Amino acid sequence: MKKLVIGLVASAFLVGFALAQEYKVVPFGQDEWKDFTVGNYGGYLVVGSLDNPKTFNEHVAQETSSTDVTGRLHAGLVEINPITDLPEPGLAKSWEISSDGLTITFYLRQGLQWSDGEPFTADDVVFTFNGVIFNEDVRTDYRDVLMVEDKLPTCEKVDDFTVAFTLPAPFRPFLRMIGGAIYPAHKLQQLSRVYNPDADPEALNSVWGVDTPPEEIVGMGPFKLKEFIPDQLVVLERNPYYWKVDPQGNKLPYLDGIKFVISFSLDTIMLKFRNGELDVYAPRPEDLATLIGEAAAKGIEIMIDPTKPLFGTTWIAFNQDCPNENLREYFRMVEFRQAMSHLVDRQSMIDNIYLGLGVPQWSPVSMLSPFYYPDVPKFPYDLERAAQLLDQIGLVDRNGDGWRDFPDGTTFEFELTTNAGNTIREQCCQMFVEDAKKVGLKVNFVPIAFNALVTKLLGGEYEACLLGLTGSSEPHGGRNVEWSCGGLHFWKYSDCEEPTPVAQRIDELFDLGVKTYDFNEAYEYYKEYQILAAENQFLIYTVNMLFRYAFYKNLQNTAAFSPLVGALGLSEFLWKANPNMVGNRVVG
Amino acid sequence: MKKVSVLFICGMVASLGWAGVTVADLERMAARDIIPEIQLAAGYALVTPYAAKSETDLLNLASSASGAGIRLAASLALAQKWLDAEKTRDEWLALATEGKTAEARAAAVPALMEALIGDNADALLELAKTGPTEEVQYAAGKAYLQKVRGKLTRDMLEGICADDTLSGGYRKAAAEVLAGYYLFPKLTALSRQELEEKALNGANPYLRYAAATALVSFLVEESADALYKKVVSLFLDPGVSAEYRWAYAQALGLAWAKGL
Repeated sequence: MKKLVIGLVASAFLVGFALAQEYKVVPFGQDEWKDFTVGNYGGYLVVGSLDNPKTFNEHVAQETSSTDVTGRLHAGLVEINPITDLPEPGLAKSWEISSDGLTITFYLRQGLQWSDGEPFTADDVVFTFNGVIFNEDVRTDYRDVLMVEDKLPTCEKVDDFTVAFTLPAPFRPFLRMIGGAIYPAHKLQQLSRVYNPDADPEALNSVWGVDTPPEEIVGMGPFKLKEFIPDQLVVLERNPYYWKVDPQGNKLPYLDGIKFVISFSLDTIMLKFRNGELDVYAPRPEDLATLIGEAAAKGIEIMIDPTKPLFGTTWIAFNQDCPNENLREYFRMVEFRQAMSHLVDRQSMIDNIYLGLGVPQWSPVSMLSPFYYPDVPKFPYDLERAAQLLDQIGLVDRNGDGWRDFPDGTTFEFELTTNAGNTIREQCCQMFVEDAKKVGLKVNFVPIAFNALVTKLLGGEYEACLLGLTGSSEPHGGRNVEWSCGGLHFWKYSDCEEPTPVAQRIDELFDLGVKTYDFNEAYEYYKEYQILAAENQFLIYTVNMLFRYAFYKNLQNTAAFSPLVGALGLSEFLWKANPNMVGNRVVG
Repeated sequence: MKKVSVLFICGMVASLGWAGVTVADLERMAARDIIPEIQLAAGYALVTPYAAKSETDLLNLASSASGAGIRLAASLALAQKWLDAEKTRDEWLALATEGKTAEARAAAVPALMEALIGDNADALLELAKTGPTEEVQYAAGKAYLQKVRGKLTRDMLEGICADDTLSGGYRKAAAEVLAGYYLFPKLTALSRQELEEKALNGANPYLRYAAATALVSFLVEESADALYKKVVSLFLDPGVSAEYRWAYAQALGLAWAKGL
């Protein structure tokens, strides 16, 4: 009887304790998590790293050899869902946006603990922003991305579990940006001159260097630092206080830890993966045949998913301000640009140049972005239609020499360039030249060095060029390209002085898209922008390279590996069917 | 007489397959099954269980076990274990050169590749062509072909496989990479039927081995029972190439390993 009472009391205590800790439940098996399963504990994820980490201080780390590690040690108020790519609650369980869009109030999860067991409160958040990120002593790039109209927001504690940010203007991407690492006030506050005027101005830049005892580095991330052996290994171990659980209430992460095997050669890293010393590897296209040849025997899965192209775009631009006035007149005609799109044989490029590792791109927004609109107007490979459009605008062969001519009878021809040495781009250009020839269009391909090409592009001195832009989930990141006065509005810099109605509308759409916090409303603005961009073919998009990933099948919950997060971004959800295996080898 | 024995064994192991093979079953088959490919298949399946054995035991087994399957399992398990061993490049070269059996020498290949991968491509190619044993040639060949992988084509690799003047180890390494080119890119990948044809009737053992290696990626989709029956039926057909038999043996080994 006594035992029973003790049992009941213990249960009640545990239930009460559990309720007090506002853990985040990751709903494996449902919605976007449908391909995830509840796992077993144990084992290390072993990955290759091309260099030593330079610091364990997330806010000053710049190179991936550091951020791959620090990114696992810390957590933020908001996190980006690794599958949907949308902001969702992190250390903040919810947030509220004032009606004017200027104040965002975050409500923190209660009962959480730092990796050293200390309680997590609003003081940590306020310290992180006011004492570290907004502190000019700290050399962090993160401060720049939080600027709205060149001003920083303010951050105030409302109560122990509530903080409020006030922005100078409504700025939707703020929610995406605000997920930076929260730092522990109890460990670092005295190093900030905001809190301690006697502190060394360099203290927050140098703290958590690579010689720091691991137990001094405290975070809210799924793992904590266990060991760093320069030139050899970084070992992370499970943070026992991590604040996420699976649907059965098991605390995440499942893995005992992560080992970063340091090697300074990509050849060695690939070989270590082939030999089963690493669990995952991001292959380059030239690696694939070798890996595919041995995949079955070694139990390697090679992920090449046509729904997961890389961020970024590749396109052909026609300079609508080009020095040649005759060309300029045609380059400004939408029919001409649509005809050029009809000359791009995207499927042949994918099959023959990208070795099947590509998908056609039609929109300026990256295909993995939640703002991507797939049904934009398309002008696919169609030589007949291209010829019709060229005929319509008066570009016809006037002297019977097989080439289309200007109205004055001179041959219509232009120079197409790309960066020399990029064999994929060179081959795409050559394919375009051949297809153009089939409709009597003379295109002269002249590859030049990358830096010279960029100078020509930004100086408005090119005629046509095939090149690429980086991309991200957030369409606002492309504003410097799309905005009529944008620094990379290289297809028509004159839009800044004399914007066309379409250019003006795109400017408006970017302003509207950034000022609403309603995703659906923002989506509609960016959808209209994508439709306008596609109709007008300001840039003629070609092919987007696919994401590739290789891993041993012993690793589980891998379905969502993607360009968004790679493998490490999902490490808190991964587990191993056999925890004693690394790659295909039994260890330990 | 041979047919009777085979049918008897076939019946015995098929039922084992349905019930799930044990490590003891596999060791028995690896040591003394009448069908050489069954010995090999059992050897492939024993690699993970053999990881628990000591380095000394594995080296002894790879060097002197009487069954080919046991030597193979020990060799592959030892190769994995040796990746964690701290030995110099010269020591790995010595092990790949002086090992008592091919299996003992082969165990040093993965670690030797890692010791060699920092060498320049010309030096690796030279070692691949003139190394003292097939295992050294193979390790150097694999390292070389990884190093120059961006320049390889299917034609080049087929040329290496077909060139009788080149070393066996280098040609074997080329055949394994060629297997990948038979499967990728998708547009030019060979079908299972084409791979079966090449594995059976390719012009030389290396070209047949390349196709057989690629074929394994299709065969792993089949059940252990189906693979077992195929291996046995191939044993009864002496006209079938060794490489084709090997492909089915390896796939069977992988299927058994999965069921352990």
